[in-house]
Amino acid sequence: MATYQSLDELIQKAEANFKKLEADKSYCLSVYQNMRQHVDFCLDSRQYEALFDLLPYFEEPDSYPQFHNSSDTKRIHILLNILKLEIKYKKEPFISAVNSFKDFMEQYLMTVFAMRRLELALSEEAMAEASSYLTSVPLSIYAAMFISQNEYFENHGNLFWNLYTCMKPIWSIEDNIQWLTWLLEREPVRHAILELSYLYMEIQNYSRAYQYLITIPSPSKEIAALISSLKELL
Amino acid sequence: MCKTINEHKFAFILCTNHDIYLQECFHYLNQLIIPDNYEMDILTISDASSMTSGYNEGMSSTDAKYKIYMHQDVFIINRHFLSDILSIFQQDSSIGMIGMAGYPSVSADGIMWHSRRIGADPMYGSDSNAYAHADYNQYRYSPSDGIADAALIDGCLMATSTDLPWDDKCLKDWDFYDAFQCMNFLLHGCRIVVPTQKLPWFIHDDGRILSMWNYDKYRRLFLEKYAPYLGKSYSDIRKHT
Repeated sequence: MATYQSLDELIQKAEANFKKLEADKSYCLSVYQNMRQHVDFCLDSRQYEALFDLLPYFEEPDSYPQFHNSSDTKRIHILLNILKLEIKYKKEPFISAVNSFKDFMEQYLMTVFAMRRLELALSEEAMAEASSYLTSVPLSIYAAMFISQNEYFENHGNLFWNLYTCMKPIWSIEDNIQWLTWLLEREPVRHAILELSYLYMEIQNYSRAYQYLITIPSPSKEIAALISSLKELL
Repeated sequence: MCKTINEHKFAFILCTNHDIYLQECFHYLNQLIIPDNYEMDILTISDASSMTSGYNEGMSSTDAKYKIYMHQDVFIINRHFLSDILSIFQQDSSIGMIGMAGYPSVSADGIMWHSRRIGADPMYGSDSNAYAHADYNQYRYSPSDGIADAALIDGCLMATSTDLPWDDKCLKDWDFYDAFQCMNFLLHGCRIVVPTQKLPWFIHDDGRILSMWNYDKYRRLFLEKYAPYLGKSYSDIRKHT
């Protein structure tokens, strides 16, 4: 709820905002068309780096003030952020399987919907369908992270863990470690701590495994035994 | 010709232009638990020229007493949604419409969200962690959770037990149909209510964006048509009926 000094101020602000929106409309729509064409061209020709030419639209102060009033353009911005990290960390881009803006939007939405099914866990069947879709697209941990931050998700503990369970065989061990680390930054859940410790043991980083294991409150006999054997090893 | 109303039927009515959203919307509708002795229909209108004309077409093509007009990007996650709205309608026969998010008064500038909001938590999905450990499979609404009267409700989901035509003469696009219809219901003496939702009943997957291109045109129409009720609460407005 907005707060205003007076009713007149509220009405004047609303009038001014609508005037600005109307004044910007045709310009914003034409820029939007240009952006779509540019995305189409870059995806079709696989010139992914050229997509970053669109960044100023989103990042320069005062550029296209009403421009963000579109879920399509918002998702182009998310795509750019994902791609930046995928290139930096040499991951297969989320967009590598699409040839046009329309294809990208379809894959993006289906990914959001599948992730939401994992988050809500309303039925086994829904979870299975979601897993099947997510493992069929090049979903990097960066794509999953940006989507989880920018779309409607609430139970991140559920989302992150169920997505991990689904993607574990596909993501690299380093990616699995990173994903679980992000999960634990949000929520220190026991099963994720244990899983992360096992992953560290798999890559023989016993000190990190130990560091995580000792954070488990009231460890079981098995975990306590594991902690002491790791301690000896270190 | 007088249509016989089926008192034991729900109809979801959706105007649609996006198959992917629609399929996902169906996914959640198909998970709903239908109360015993009731049936449920889903009507989609894919070639509507406006929200009001599409909704009128849907309204006239079903005999269901309970109609749920909603957006294709609304995903109902409360699987007991149907029995929950039924229990609310059955509390008081003057309840004509139920919304998920509403406003007890009409804002002076006609912009709904400039009034105090009730119902669905606007913090959902905002990283607030308010529902971080919610178990949607266990959640049940109880009438003791309560309802609150509203003057206006958000058009993303509007459930009705009474048929009043949508104003397709004035409203030729996709904006303000909700506010006009709420005024219509109030001025016909119907209560509009919003249930207290301890857990979210739905997700409105609008990409966190509201398209405003035609909004002002219809806002001005609203200000003109309902001038006496601007800044008034639901109870003030119902006094005029």
